[in-house]
Parts: sequence; C-alpha cells; structure tokens
Amino acid sequence: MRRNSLGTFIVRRIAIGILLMLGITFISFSVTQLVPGDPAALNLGQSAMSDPTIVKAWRVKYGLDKPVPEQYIIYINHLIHGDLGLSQQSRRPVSSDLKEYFPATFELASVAIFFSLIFGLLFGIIAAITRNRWPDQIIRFVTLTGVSVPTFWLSLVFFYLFYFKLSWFPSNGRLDPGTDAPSTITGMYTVDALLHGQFSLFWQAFRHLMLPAIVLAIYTIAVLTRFTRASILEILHNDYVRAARAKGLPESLVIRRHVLRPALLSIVTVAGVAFGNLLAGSVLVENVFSWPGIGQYAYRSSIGLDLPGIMGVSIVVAGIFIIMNLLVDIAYRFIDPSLRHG
Amino acid sequence: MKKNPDSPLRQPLAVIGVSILAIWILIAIFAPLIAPSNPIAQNYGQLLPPNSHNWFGTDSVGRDVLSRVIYGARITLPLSMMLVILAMIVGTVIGAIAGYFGGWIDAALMRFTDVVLAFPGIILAMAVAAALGAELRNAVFAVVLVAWPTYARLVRGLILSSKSADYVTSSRLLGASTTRALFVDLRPNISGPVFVLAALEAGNGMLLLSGLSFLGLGARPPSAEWGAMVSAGANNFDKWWLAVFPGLAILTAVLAFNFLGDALRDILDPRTAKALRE
Amino acid sequence: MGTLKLGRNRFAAIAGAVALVSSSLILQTTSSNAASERVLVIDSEFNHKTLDPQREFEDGGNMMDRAIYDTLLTFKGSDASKPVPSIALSYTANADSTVYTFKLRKAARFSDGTPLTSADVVYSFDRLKNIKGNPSSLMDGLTATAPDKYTVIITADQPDTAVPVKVAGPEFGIVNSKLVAAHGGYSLVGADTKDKAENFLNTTSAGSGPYMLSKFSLTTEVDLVANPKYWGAQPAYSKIVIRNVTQAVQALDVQKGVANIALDLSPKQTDSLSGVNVTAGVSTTVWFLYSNANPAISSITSDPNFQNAVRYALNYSDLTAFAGKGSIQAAGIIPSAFQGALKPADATKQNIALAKADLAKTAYKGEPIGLRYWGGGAWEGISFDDFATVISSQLAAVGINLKLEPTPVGDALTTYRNGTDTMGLWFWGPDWPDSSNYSTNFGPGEKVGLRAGWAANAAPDITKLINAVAIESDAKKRAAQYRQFQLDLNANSPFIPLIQSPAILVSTKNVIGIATNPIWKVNLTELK
Repeated sequence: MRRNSLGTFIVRRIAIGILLMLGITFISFSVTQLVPGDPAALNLGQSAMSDPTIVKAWRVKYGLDKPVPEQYIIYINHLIHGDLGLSQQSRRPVSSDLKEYFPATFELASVAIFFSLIFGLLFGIIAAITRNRWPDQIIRFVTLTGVSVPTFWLSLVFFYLFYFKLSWFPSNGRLDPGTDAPSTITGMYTVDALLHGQFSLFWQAFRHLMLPAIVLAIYTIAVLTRFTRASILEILHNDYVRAARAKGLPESLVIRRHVLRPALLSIVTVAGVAFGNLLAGSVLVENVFSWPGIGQYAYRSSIGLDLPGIMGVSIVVAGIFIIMNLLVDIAYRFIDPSLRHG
Repeated sequence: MKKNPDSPLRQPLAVIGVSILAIWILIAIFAPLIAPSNPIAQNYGQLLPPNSHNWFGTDSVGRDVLSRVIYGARITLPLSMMLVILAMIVGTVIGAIAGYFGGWIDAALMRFTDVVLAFPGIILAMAVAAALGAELRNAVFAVVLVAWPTYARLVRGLILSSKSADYVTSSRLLGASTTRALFVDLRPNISGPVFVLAALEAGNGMLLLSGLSFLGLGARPPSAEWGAMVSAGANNFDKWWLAVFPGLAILTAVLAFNFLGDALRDILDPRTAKALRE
Repeated sequence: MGTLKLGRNRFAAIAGAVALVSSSLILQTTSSNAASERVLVIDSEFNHKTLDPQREFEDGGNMMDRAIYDTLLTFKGSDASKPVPSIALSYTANADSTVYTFKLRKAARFSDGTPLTSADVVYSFDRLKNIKGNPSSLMDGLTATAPDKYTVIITADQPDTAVPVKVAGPEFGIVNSKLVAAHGGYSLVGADTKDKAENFLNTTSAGSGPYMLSKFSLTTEVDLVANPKYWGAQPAYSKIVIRNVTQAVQALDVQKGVANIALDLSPKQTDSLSGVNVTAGVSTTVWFLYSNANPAISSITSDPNFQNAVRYALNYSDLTAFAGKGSIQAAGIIPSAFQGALKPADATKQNIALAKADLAKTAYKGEPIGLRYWGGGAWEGISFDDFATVISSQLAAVGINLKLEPTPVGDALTTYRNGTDTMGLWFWGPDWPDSSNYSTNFGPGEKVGLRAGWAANAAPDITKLINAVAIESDAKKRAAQYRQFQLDLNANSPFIPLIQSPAILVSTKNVIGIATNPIWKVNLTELK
C-alpha cells in the first residue's frame, strides 16, 4: 500500500516535471526573441556581413530564416530527439558543449556542497545548543555576513590574496598548463584521475578546484548553518521532545529520534536546493576564476547572444533544478512517510 | 504575553542593521554635500592609490573613488528598493488572485510561478538583461522577473490559511464583497509577513543587481554603480582600491538589510515565521 | 548532557581532520616537466573561432596558424610591409601587376612527410575563395593556377599591387591537400556547402610549419608540439601551451612566472610590473571618430565646419597619454607601418581657437549629439567607455555637448554598418597589411565611407585619386598618392583619426627573440 503511493507520487511528480520543462523552454525561447540586435552581426566578420549570400547561408544554418512559431516547434521537435541545436559561437552542437562543460561545474559544486554540509551542520548545531550565548552570537554574525557578501567580490579578494600574494593555490584552469587531462570517463578530472590510478594528477586537479570551491561554499555554509540552527531550535522546544523528556527517556534517544530525524528532513531539503543552486549559480565564481563550466557557458552565450546556447543552458540547468527538487521530495517521503505533502 | 527572548530590543544585530541602513540613506540623500568631488570629473591622475587628496584613490580615467562610492548609493539603494517593491507588488497580486479565487485560476497561476521559480535566477536574469541590452533599467526588470515568485507563493499560502478564518467567513456572510474581504479583512494578516519577506529579499535583490552590473549587463559608464566599479577593479588586480571599496559598500548595505529582515522575522509569531522560511 | 560531550568529541575529530586536509593543501606541489622538454606557456584572451586557416580571421587564430602552416611569403619580426621568401623562393610580377609568378622551393614537406607542391597551394587558395568564410574576400578577383609542380601563378582581374603582402597572411596557409580532401575537404566552387574539413583541422593540423596542433579548445587551452618532420630548423620550444586567461590574471601569472608571455596587458598595467620584460610596439589598429556626413541623419554632423571643429578641438597628446605608453597619434587613417603613411609632422594639431571659429560657422546651438560605440567593449587594452568619456570631456571644453551612447556590441555593429549613427567611435584593423586596404574602404561611397554617411559623389577629387592609386605600379608614386589621400581626408571628410594603440608583450626574462607583429601578435616560431 505504501509502496504504491510512493510510486504514484514519483510518477505524478515526473509528469509535472516534464510540464515544467516545457514551460521552461517556452520562457527561454521568449527571452531569445527579446533580442533587438542581429545575432548575425555578432558572429560574422565585417567583410562577411556585407555579403548577403554569406549572411543568408548563416541564417539558414541556424534556422533563423523561418517564422517564429515554426522555429519554436522545430526546436521542441529537435529537443525530444536530444538535439539542442548548433551553438552560434562554438559552431558545435550545444549538447557537445554542455557535455564538455557540465562535469567541471558538477565537480566544483560537489566539493563545495561537501564542505558546506560538514561546516554548515557543525556550526548550526553549535549555534543551536549555545543559543544566545557568545558562540551563537558570533556564528550568527559571521553567517549573516556570509550571505551578504557579493560572491564576485569575494572571488576577486580570495584570488588576489591566496594565489597572488600567498601562493597557497595555483592559478586559473583545472590543471597546470600543458598537463594532459585524464582520459574521459566522467569528465571530472579528480574522479577520472583516481579511476586511472594517477594520484599526482588527482592532487593537481584537486588543488585547482579548492579556491573556487571555497568561495562557493562560503555562501552555502552560511545558509546551511542558519537553517540548521533554526530547525533544531524549533524542534528542541516542541511538544514531542518535552513529552519524551517527561517520560524519562535518555537524552541521546530523544535527540536522535525526535530532534535529528525531523531536522534532517529540513536540512536535506535545503541542501538539495542548495546543490541545485550551486550548479546553476556558479556563474559569478566561474567568471572570475575562468572555470570552464556551464556558468561560464551561460555567461558567454548571453553576452554573445548565442540563442541556441542560451536555450540549451537554461533547459539543462532548469532540468537539474527540477530533478534535484524531485529527489529531495522523494527523500523527504522516504525518511518520514508519516508526513503527507501534496 | 510571553516575554520574548528574541525581541529586537535585545538583539544588538538588529539595531546595527537599522543604523547602517540609516547611514547609507543619509549618505545617499546628502551626497552632493559629503562627496569631496564630482563623481564624473576626471580631475586627478589615473589609478592613484589612496592618498590625502583621494582617500579611496582614483580610477582609470582619474575620477575620485570615494566620491563615486558615495554617489553610487544614489543609484544602488533606490533601485534595489524599487526592485523589491515592484517584485512585491507583482508577486502579491498574482498570489492574492490565485489564493482567493482558487480552482483552475489558482492551478494555472501556481504552475506558472513554479516554472519561473524552476529557472535558476541568475541565468534567467542574465539572459533577459543581455537580450534587452545592457542598461540598468533592463537589469532591474530582469531581477524583478526573477524575484516575484517568492512573494506570490507566500501570499497565496497566507490567503489559503486565512480564508477559512472565522472573521472572513462572517464578513462574507454579512454580504461583504470579495474586494472588501480581500483588502480590509485579509490585508492586516498578510502585509506583515510580506514586508518581512521584502526586507529579507532586498539584500538578495541588491546582490543580483550588482552581480549583473559586474558582468557588464547592467549599469553603464560613467554611472557610479557599485557592481560596475568592482568590475573595473577586476581588470586591475593590483590596484586593489578599485574593487575593495565598492565591494565593501555592497557588503554593508546588504548586511544591513539582512540584519533587519532577520530581526523582523524573529518577532513574528512562529507559524508565519515558518512560512517565511520555506 | 551526555550527547553534548559526544558532540564535542565529534567536533574535535572533524576539526582535526579539516586541519590536516587544509595544511596539506597548502604544501606546494609543482608539476614535473620532462628534462628534455622546453615548454612555453602563453596567456591570451582567446578570440579565435577556428584554426582552419581558410576560415580563421582573428589575430588569435593568426598567431596559432602562423606556427602550424607555411605561406608563400612571410614577414620577419615586427615587419608587416616587406615580404620575404618562405615556401616561395622568389616571385616576379608583370608590368601592370595582374600576373604574379611564384617559384616554390623543392624541400618543403608536410608534417606527415608528404612533399609540398603547387597543387597544394592551388588547392588551399581555391578553398579560401570558395568556402565563402570570413577571409574569403581576400581572394576577390584573384585566381591561382599551377603550370608545373613547383610554380604557382596568381592572376588578378584588376591591377593589384598588394598580392605579395596578401599571400603572407595566415589565411593563405598551405594545407596538405590530400589529407584534407580525405577528411571531407573540398576546394572547388560549392565548397561553402561541401567542405566539411573544419572539425578535422581543429583536431589534427595539416600543415608544413614548425609546429603541429596537439590540443584544441575555444575556451581553455590550445597546445602546439614541435613538428619532428619540419623541413627547416627545429624550433627552440618543443611544446607551446596557449591558455585562455583574463587580462587581469595575465599580469599576475607572468609576474609569478606561471606564464612566460602575457599577450593582452595594457600599458597602464605594465607600469607596476617588476621582474619582467616589456616589449612595446605600435599596433596597426587605428582608432577614429566619424561625424556622419549624411544630411538626412543630421544637418549638424554633416556640416564640414562641425567636422573640422571636432578635429581641431581634440587634445591628441592627452589621447595618447590615455592610451598609454607606446601609442602614437594617428597622423592619417593609414597606420605608420605601411608604405604611404603620413609622418607625425603632417598630423592634425589641436587648435582650440580654430575649432571654436569653425563651430561658430555652424547652426549648432549646444544640443546633445549622440556618440555611439560598443559599450563595455575593449580592444587591445583600451576601453571604449573610458575612451569615449575622455573624448567627450575634451569636446565639452569647446562647447560641443556629446551624449554618450554605449550600446551592446551586436546593436552597435548593426547601426554602424547601416550608417545611421550621428557620431561613432570605432577602430580599423587592416584586413591585409597594405595601404590599399584603406583607399578601398575609407573613400566616399566605399564601405566605411558609407557607414560615415559619405556618399559616392561627395568628393570627386578624392575618388579620382583613389582610382589612380589602384592602377599605379610604381611604389614611390603610390606612396605619394596615399599620403595625398590622407591629407585630403584630414582636411575635409567625416573621419577624424585619433590614435594607434600600443601593442604590448610582457614576457619573463628567459624568453628571447620576442617582437610584436601586427598580423600575428608574436611569431611563435622565432622565440628562443
């Protein structure tokens, strides 16, 4: 009985997810139609632009010569077949571009979320336990600063301090110059190097990851700490806990069953959403560190008015968001099926 | 009434937040009197480090950075507040319509809200700002587009839970029209949380707006917007004063909004506070 | 209470682990280089779109393809005006510059060992023309034929004195015709749809130069390795790594020695650098203002008195100071490196009194005049926004009120090319390194002339001069005619040449043989 309801829940959510994706394609397509300028002007050289045959050939190649609604239908049709179109800047299929750039961001986001979970939970628990005393006040001040600092500014400051002045971390790029990447299995250099047994390469890739991951993690640590603190405080004072204590149950049992379990629910939610945010929102950090991920790709597509690129990135990133939310919801139900959320 | 250990008066952070905001607002208002020179006057040598004439140094065309940071408050602060108010209005209206009328109107509007929420904020904002052209006005529009769904969700949720409240039902039984019910009876319960959400979101709005300017998709020179100034600093790493001071300005302003928002949320009753956290 | 203690222990354990990890991260690990390899690392802001020589048109692509592909003739060091032999040992031209005969050396071979013959040259040139890519216009009016294995003849429909300098361009790089054809290459008419070799050329190069392509990316890194089968002397560096790094970080990298050469630094950035060599040259990029000469666009800007008021109001020495060390005032629209350029003595000098007098003769009453340009853009270290700001404050001093219109690059390019901007700030980088590129573009009714609203019949004397220089075969006479062309433009035209940008290369002290070159930034094959 329970398994059925979980199954139908998943199916229903996937269906909603697909509808959401359709909505996303519509929105991103509309955005690309807002462009007042001429994408051809940006991508063809001066001499080429004055030759009408070259311009026409370019337009036909990117499907820009058809009426707008037809362009949308064609796009959706291609999308269903896994074809995200041709990027105007790189002249390659958008899907190849994304396949190349996505693992870099995923690697970065994974390391960032790992640190965020450790420190976020840690500081959140400390803050909750020492409520309103000085450790709590300090943590609250620091985390508030953490969510208020502009990430692009922090990236610059960290890069200047830790690379240039202190040489603690290497310069831009995922590896040292001239080093060959491990042959692709996942596209994530750290994982691939480990899988090939190349430990020094793994270490090199990891060191290049550190600085941008730390900057990304700072914001997420702040968010997770605040959230953990609030969740734990809320639960510590509710009736279940008081009743359990009144019953004389040992404190560790109280904490484990009535505090950590419900807290875990909220934290899982926030962490899942945070991970999705990291994947998408690393635009500013990737920009400063020249990290070749999808944030950079999204930025360059926007600046260069690469319409297929913009659409491709939006759809993929939104898709990730939706999948993360779905996974979080499933985990939610799994951890505590007694909670019913429509 | 229980003595609330989290009351704002006992929270030094809230007081600090309001004070910082007040200082910035005063700076913005009295900028012409406070700033040592005209923010677009290229009077000084280029790229001078902080000195006795230019406390914050000068930029690449010889403008005084301190004056530009001061005048920047006149751009960033009002625009951020305007952005928040616009998002609040749009989101509240949509959420109110959805919550009050229910049925298929609610379903349609909420699905639309979900779609916009599913779109990662900065990516949508970047695409919209780039598509429309790099201007501060367009960047504000882009951020509003991204920010309104949170308000819509909150308002709809609040209305749904208030709709069944006794005073509303009795008001309608007595023959009051829908509009009256919405505005007179529900409003007091909704405006509080909405304003708190606005305070909480104002900081994010400012960060997104200055982020867009940093990427070159917002303010254009010679405008003294803080995000654009940090971007200029990024091009001259070792001239650290170009990026550090505008960045600190953004940081303190956002911090102030967040302090305020936090404190306001803490004095609400726990149920609404919980609604705000989701 | 019990859990609290447990919490503390756990906390200590985690803190300890974190401390361990972070301290080991701080330890330096250097990447190892094989002792026999000499690797050169170059930081560049990538602008290349492809490394297919017949499709590339950006100076980034020029730099990389110069090292991979050979051309009939080439330039040495910083020169871009006197071609020297490369694949072609010698050449002759007929009396009216319509037939050029090149004699090829017999020893040249491609990286796979195949000998380079005239068939490969003709294939490459045909492909350049028929692929209809960005650089295809370079072959306009030209045809290449191969009467025998080591002779190539280029015929021009009209007299064309610039053929020798044109063929030195990397777009004329000679590809291995058999290899390219085997991978989807097509050189005849119809190549614009039939040629599919671009991807192949972006993964494996097919050239005869000292380097081969070993890694390609548009966004991260391009690697070149030495060609073991090169027909000439082996280059000093066995591997060249070119990384995409933003300008600001390039300054940091080259100071720390992480990169050997930084390509995109501006003069102001070099002021504060230490421990590096700064090689400063003058670019062939000319920045100019134009005041639209089309009365339908504006009756003010089309008034020659207004145009001259702007011309004499500008403080050119302040403009060069703004652009930085190494930049010079553009005496005329033709850059100093080319035959027929004006001398600095002939340059326009600021004359505020004259400017005000000219302004008084117009109907201008102080209303704002729009100056449109690429907002947020920068070229060779000069920011459009800053440049426009400096210009507008200079013009404000004589009473000309400019309204700055920074515009996103797509829109800015569109209105510029449509000729609808009242005033514009742009630059021109030569399509080929010869003055003829300017006489065929900046005259009335010509491409850039039309963008500035200069109609075809607006200046018949100048048009006559342009037609005369196109058929003049004596180099000295041509130079005189180009000079006159520019003097005429400086006296009465919508164009106001401003400056030539500085070209700066910053390198670590161990790199020798570095020189700025306007076509390919730096000749990778000459570095030691």
